[in-house]
Amino acid sequence: MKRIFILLLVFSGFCLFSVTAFAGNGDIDKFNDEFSFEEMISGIDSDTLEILSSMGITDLSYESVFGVTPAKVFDSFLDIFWGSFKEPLKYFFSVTGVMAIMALLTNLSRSPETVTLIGSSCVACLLAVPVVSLITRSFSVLESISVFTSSFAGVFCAVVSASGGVIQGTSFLGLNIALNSVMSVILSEFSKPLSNCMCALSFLSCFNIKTFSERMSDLFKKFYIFILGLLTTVFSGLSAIKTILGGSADTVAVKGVKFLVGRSLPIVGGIVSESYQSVLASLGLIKNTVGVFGILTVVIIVFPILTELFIWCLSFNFISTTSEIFGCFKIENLILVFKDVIILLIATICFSALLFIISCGFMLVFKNG
Amino acid sequence: MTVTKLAVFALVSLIFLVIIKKHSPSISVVSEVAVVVIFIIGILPDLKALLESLRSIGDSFVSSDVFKIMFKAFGVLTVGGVASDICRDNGENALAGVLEIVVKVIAISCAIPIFTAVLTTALALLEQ
Repeated sequence: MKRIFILLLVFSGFCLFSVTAFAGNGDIDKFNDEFSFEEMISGIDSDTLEILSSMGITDLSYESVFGVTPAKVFDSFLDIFWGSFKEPLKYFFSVTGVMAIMALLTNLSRSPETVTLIGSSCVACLLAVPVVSLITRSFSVLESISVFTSSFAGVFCAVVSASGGVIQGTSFLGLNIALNSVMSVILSEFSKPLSNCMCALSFLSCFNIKTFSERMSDLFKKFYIFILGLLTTVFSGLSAIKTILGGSADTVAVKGVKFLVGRSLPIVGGIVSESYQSVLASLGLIKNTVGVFGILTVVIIVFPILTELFIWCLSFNFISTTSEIFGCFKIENLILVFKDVIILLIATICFSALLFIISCGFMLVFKNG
Repeated sequence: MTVTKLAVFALVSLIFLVIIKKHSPSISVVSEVAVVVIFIIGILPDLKALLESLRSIGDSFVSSDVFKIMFKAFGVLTVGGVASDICRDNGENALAGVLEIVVKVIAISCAIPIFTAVLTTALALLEQ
């Protein structure tokens, strides 16, 4: 009787004083307000959002990002690739037509220099519009990258800090702010004036300033790419050092919290410290999702313009070969300088995108805790 | 006109011009100009056909304004070149030289819109 009474007492104690605890189904919408995901997505331009949705990435959820298949990616990229071919091909045929007529008239004419001068000016006039448009669009893409990375850095810092990487998160934010400042200075003081200057010099090559513009453009291109390479190496090294050391410090902090909670709370200390670990792991999943989304977005922002620039570079290679066949050496010089400008733009866009991808990648690869 | 006919006509004209020059230099100048005009009229249909075929091929790739400017400049240079050669044949080198300069200026002025567009674009890029 006594034993039955004690059993009943213990059972009623369990029923009255127990607390239900369970892991709920994590919904990304709950984190929208806390981490300002909508603010980050509003920093992305509409064309990029369209490409992201065509790949199946409609929101910032694990299922959406993980659901991207190679077929969807391939289809989207193929559409962009084929769309970029039309204009360079059209201008290739136009310039070849002008060069063919120029070569014919130069051979028939009593004053071949005058015909060559007029023909070169016609080609320069033809190519002025697409080249200037390419430069303008490249710099607007660079601005889009800067706007997105600024809004992304704050959100990613918050997510990383919430997942236990406080020092890692703040170092990422600091590095990105520094990168954006450096990029804006490079673009406004160096890249844009340099590419505009080189284009203007190439137009002058129609009026027989060949040697000056060709050599100078080659020198500028080599110096600029060297500086960008140096900056990339320095920044990547700094990013790696800060991420590794920050990660180690955060690991110590997390383990310290777990030890403190486990020892200070009676009876449930161990359970609470393990549930803290589970919460960090789930926030780590959100961190990786957000990180991958950021990298994908930057890749999609730069892919269309990079494809177009590469195809234009290829087109200019064909035009310069054709000009050599027709003996139009002034046009060959003009095209070579335009090609150098395109290469500068490609280098600048790759530099900007790669630095962000590298710093984000380090954050995803180097785990804490 | 076939090449053979043109060659025969040119040689026969040359013989007549040399004979006329001995007796009357002033009439030989007029005769020379007449022979050149006959030549140009003779090849005019072929030249027209060539231009039309180039224009029909080129219209799909190149703007017709570019064609017009280049052919206009070519036409001006060719006509001016022939006239300056006639002047040189008759010993008027100074006149021929001046005519060549004037013709080049007129040919370049045909392309002034293009030069203006190129220079304006270059200056706009430098100002940015």
